[in-house]
Amino acid sequence: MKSLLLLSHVLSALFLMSPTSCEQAEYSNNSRIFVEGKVISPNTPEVQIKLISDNILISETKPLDNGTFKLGGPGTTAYKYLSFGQKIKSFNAVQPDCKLSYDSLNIILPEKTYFRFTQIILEP
Amino acid sequence: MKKYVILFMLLSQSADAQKNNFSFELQGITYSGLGTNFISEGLGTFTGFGAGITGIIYENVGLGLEFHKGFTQVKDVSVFGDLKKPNLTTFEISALYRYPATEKLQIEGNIGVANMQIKSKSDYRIDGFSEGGTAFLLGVKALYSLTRKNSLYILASPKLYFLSTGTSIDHPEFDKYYSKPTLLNFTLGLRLYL
Repeated sequence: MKSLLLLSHVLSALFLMSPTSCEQAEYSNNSRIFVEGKVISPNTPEVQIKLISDNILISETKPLDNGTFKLGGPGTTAYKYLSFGQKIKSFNAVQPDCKLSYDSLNIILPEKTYFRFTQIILEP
Repeated sequence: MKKYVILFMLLSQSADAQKNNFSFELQGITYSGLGTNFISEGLGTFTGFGAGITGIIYENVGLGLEFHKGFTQVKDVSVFGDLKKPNLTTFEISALYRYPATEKLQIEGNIGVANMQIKSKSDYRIDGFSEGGTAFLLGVKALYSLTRKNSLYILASPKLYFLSTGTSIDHPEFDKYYSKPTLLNFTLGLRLYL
């Protein structure tokens, strides 16, 4: 009886410790993602481009003076997005299904490994 | 007469080599990316240590096993990603041909396969990120005897590794950039014949 009581405690503790309640992105080994493109902004040299998945910063860079950038990093299990630290006015992507987030701060990428943006226009 | 003397010297060399069949090595190693790929542009030079054994099977032909561990830093985050402290583990098996150039100097040629894994730590996840695959390797080793009985040698060796990782990117240029790096290895070490 006593052992049964103990078991019930252990089981409930195990249930509380189980990670199923919060699914988070993990790195997926042997997987890479690459993004390239051109940013058009009044303050191009100060733009910080970040590739993010969940709370993982995959990669970051600054564009060249002409606005072009290349960004590569490890793959993850969750969806990824591009962030520029400021609002995005419009963009043109070679790959379909890239979406602007509701607050216009990020470009949400579909599940692919290569992306090219012919232009990304940032709000002044 | 001179010919016979040379022939005798060569024979006695190979007889010596056969006497010392098995060897053990301790090494200092470096690896760097060669050409245009994510290792040469994204990472610094790996430096570390290694160990190896060799055995002669028939005349001057034998087998070698080697283990290397190297450490480096990320040089360009936009190429390699926001990862920390990448380390390289290599485990290889190779066929070797041993040529006794002089009484003290031996030259070895190596051809083989290796398993290479690059593991990186991350600020965001405990497990970190790893990538790797199989490499084809080609190398040369120069060995110089330090003792009168030719039981201890100092060695220097360059090696090329043509790695193929399991990574794939939907663009041929960047797929090659991330999945087919060539690495150049330098090894300096000591070999002891058992």
